[in-house]
Amino acid sequence: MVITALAALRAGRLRRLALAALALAPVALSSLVINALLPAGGGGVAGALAALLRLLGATLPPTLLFATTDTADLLGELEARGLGRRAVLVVGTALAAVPRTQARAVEAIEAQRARGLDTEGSWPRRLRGVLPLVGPVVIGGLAEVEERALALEARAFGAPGRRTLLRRLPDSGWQRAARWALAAAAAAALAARVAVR
Amino acid sequence: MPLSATRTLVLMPVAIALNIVLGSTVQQVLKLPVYLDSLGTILTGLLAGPIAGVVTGALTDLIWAYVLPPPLAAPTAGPFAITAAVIGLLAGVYGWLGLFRSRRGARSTVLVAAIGVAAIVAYAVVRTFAGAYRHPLAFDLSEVAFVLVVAVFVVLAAWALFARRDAGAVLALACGLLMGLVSAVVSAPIAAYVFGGVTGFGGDVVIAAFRAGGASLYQATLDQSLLSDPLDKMVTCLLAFLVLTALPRRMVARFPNGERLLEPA
Repeated sequence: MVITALAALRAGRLRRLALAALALAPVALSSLVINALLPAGGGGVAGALAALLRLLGATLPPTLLFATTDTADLLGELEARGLGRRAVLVVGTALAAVPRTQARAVEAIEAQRARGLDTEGSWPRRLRGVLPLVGPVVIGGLAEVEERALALEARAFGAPGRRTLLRRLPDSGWQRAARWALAAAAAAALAARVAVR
Repeated sequence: MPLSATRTLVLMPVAIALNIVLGSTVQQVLKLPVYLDSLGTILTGLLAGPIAGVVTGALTDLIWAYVLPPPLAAPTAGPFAITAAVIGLLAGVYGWLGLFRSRRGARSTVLVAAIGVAAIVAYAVVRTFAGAYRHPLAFDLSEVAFVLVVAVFVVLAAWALFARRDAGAVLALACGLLMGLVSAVVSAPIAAYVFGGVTGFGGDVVIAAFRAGGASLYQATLDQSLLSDPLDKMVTCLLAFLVLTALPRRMVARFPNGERLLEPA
């Protein structure tokens, strides 16, 4: 975690990392309250802190990776190194589709509110709002699938053979060495953990 | 690559985005005790088969947890990729078996089959709940949970049979209930052992209540997910069914599993 924070500082992305850590605040709060108040079987405050540290350790490094690396660059480079273009397509398109779908959802919510949809009332009333909100978003998304599939086929997505990348990322010897060293360190840490058990 | 394979490949990212947006934005607007974050996974499984469902489910939670920037990110979603993958697999099997086909017009054989399936599902539910709630202290709480799940099932099934006159919707509901039980059994150990029963959602309070009632950590998370997951999956499966019936036939038919989802014309 310390290394992650230092790397983030070096890359000027500490704010982004802090935000990600802050997103865990509800979990942390809930965990502290429950573990401290629960009389029997609760882990106590120490247990809650240990769980939180474990969670931070698992969440922050990937967050840092995607905060410092442009996803398009990452996917392009992975493809150049042999990852199938289907995987690249699925992940890349999914990331691009999230804001688009979000915009469509907000549109649907506003349109239905304008028509008098109740999103504040009692819960049977809100349950009635599920279909008018979910329906347009989902059906709009599925309609998009058809267009995109045709567009992809028209651009020879299904053609055999590998694509050539126009832009390769610079990769110094130091970076290569660091990658191998990190992989070795991870393996060593895992081995040490198993051995201590 | 055939066009239907390309179509599946394009469906998966769209479904992932749907999962994330429905699970965050729409869920926040409606403030209902359902997650709604597996509708895309279930639709993909139904339309394009188990493998596409598994990939969609797993990728949804991984992207959600690690790739998206904070306002949308759900940092605790990562390990639940396993649950989402199981849901996608199950949806693929459902689609392959043709369980989500619309069955309008109550022919007597269809009705008998629907009631038979409902009876089997009810038996499975009773067995699962009886097995899960052994400890006597949380008994009344768990009874409330059980009654709630069954009541929602009955209400939704009645709506499907009498308002929509579609026996297929009841089958979809039963599928959702079964899926909810499976998903609860898969996700409870994750919630218990990875997160210590605390994931920052409203369910935490329920888990704490079960634990205060004397249940062990694992038992409490299992109790909580046996309450929330069947409810969520029933609603989601019914939604998936309604969406499929609302789509134009030709659109559904173009997906690999499409023929199995359509009423014979």
